[in-house]
Amino acid sequence: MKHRLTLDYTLGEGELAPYLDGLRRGTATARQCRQCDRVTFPPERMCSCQTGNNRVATFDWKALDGKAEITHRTDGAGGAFALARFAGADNLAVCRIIDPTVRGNQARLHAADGDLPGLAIEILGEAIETAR
Amino acid sequence: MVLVAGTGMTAFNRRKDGSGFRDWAGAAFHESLESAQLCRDDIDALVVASESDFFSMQLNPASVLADDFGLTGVACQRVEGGGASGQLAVHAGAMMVLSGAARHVAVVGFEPSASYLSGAAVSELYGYSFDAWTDGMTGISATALYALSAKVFMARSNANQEDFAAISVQNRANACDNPTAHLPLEITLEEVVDSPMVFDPYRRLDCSPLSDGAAAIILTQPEDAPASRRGAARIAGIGAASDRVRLGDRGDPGFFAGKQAAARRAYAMAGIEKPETQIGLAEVYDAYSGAQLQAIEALGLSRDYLTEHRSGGFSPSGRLPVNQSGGLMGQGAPVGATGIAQVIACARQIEGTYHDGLQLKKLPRYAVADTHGGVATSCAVTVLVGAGN
Ligand SMILES: [Zn+2]
Repeated sequence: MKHRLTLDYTLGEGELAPYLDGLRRGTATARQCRQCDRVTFPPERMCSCQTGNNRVATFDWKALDGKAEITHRTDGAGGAFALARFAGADNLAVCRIIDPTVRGNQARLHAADGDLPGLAIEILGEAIETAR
Repeated sequence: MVLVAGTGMTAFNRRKDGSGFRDWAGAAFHESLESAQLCRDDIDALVVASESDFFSMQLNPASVLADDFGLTGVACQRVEGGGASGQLAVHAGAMMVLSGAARHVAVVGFEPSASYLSGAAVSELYGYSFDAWTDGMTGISATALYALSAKVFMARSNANQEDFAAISVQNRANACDNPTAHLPLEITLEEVVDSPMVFDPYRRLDCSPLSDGAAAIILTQPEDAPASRRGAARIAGIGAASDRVRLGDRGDPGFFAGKQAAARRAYAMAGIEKPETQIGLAEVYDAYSGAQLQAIEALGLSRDYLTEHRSGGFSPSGRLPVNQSGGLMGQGAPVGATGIAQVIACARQIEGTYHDGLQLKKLPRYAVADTHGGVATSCAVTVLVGAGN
């Protein structure tokens, strides 16, 4: 039995809209906890400083300069991805590397494209010759 | 304690015979009922594990399977926690028995992960089993996320690619004596290391397969089981815990902290104080080769897991056999059935009725089964024990 299903979602961005707007423009919009100043990019919806109570954490949006340092990287047939720390952020971000042929640890945010609205970075370095 | 009165499972593989998940689930259920020496009328609750309606094209599968099994009128529910779905269903069934809500519970897991959709479609869907909004929308795959976690683990532990490859070799070799296994392979370390790169450090042979299949168990109090089954293995402890969903939000993205918390809860319930000496068999969630070492670490199964791994301590003849069934890499991984199959392997090993060639000569007193969804995000651990303990 053959069956085909096509789905076309419209996802409500809700309180993370400023973060996703920033990705579309290529600007790093982080969240800062008003209680403990922890900065997260990508943003958290709750801050760990509120673990011991029942209050909802409150945040401000904070612009980062978009520079990032790659801590770990993986390369494969489907591209390259990294764990990277954006300057000014206290957490790490999973990012798509837009040009896998470029090596280096320093990177900056790259504006997201329509099909992949998630975090993407370009590496600030030189392309290297590879066997692939 | 909760008795595992009956067990049943189909082969895990890619079906080419035109059969469907309802056929497999029915076969596993009826085998478990027969091995429990119970009748359909004895069953008063059905718990179904399945990861995704996208895979099966069937929402609310528990009601459909209850109908298929001739269990009209029983309480039925579906449990889902990504890769942990099967064991979370076992936990739900065990809680029903312990609370007195049900006397005989059938726990049935299935997944048509191989033959219904293309591998590319399944991989894309798996990308949404992490934080779909952030990590998922980068286009990252499960393999790449596991690879990043493995890289952090390797940097901290000094484990290397050969350590990982040795796990692939061992689990596939174990599967050669398992008639239900998807990937029984006699392969060498070199073949693993030379297999095509998927995401560094993981190569094709470091990855578990997408499988079709189903598994089922019948849970009850020992006194509610037929006399001939009262000596079966028991569930001594269950524990579950979650970790931060995004790797980047974890203190150590290479450490499975949620698994450690789940295990500690299961050990506490079972009265296990020293898992590194008391447990005699472990079936752990080796979605990728390195994840097996990460699991052994988090489950607290060894004082020095890397040295013990390198000296064969987790091999079939070692101090603590790990994934004697072949694990996900060898036996296969139809997601909803995976955790239930692990419990079956542990229960049959404890009873001494496991497959010839894989049955441990010294029956383990305690065995631990371990699963997770995400990259060890939702974790579920079950401790089984023999009747005499
Ligand atoms: Zn805070």
